[in-house]
Amino acid sequence: MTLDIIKEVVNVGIGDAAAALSTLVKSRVTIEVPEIHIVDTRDAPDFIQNEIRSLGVYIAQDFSGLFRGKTLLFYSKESCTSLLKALLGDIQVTSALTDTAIATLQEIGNIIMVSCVSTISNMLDDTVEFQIPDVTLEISEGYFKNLVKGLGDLEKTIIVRNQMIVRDNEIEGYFFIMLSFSDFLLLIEKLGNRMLNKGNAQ
Amino acid sequence: MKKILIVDDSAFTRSIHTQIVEALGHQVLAAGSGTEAINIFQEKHPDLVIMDLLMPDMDGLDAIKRILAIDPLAKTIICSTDKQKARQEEARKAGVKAFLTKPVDADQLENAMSKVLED
Repeated sequence: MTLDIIKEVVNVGIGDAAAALSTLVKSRVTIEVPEIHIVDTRDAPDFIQNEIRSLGVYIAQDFSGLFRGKTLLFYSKESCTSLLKALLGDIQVTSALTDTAIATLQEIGNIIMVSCVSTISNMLDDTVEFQIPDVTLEISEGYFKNLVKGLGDLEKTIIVRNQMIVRDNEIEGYFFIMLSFSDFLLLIEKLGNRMLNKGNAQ
Repeated sequence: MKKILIVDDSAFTRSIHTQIVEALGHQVLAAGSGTEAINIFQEKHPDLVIMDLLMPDMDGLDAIKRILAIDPLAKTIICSTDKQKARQEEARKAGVKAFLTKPVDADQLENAMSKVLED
């Protein structure tokens, strides 16, 4: 039941994010059904270590309101390069990200993450405040271990593995929503009630 | 030709909006923050302000409120990733003429600008 509720919401959010990307690249964006996992945040680094072994880019954003937490987007360097090529045209691939690339990724992260969390917020008739996203180029394991140490009470993590095809480039990304256990339960309860009411009304 | 102030902390988005607005034959003024936008507004008196919401120094809606305090007839459009209904309602009450969700395409921005400028 919990996973079904999360899947329903995530599908809407990822669909909105794909539509947003499609507007930016002026081309159709195809999305695959996302794979969703709910894990304890302390177990997230091990989970990620098994999934991601490459250098990648993380875009992180904090939010607060009825529920508060952190969202995180991860793209491998290859996916990131494909994404930037689709958005900016041919770019020179170097080991470091240029300021333009960082600014672009920051805005893409902002669009995708705010789109997803706004979708949830609108479903709950709530208002969430967002912070400016940070972009970090890191090896996944190290970044995650450090991140988890500083997360305090954000004990639950929803992990969404999503694949998109943008201008013939396959882009695989991971989207994380980190919440406290009590906010996670509150979110599930409220979203579940909303879906139940919607179902009864039909 | 109208003078359009584009306010967004993202250089990426500023450049997309600038391309769209310049292609419509308007003059673009650009600001990367709410504070800069208020200063440019006071100095250049643009015909329309297109404002982001989430910016480091000042929320876009606060910047619009300060602009409307300077000129209550100022025409403003919000263009933000934040599509929450409550934020849209707050913006409407503050006197914002249109609320667009980022990213916008050229037609969306042109339609909104036409409506607000003709108003």
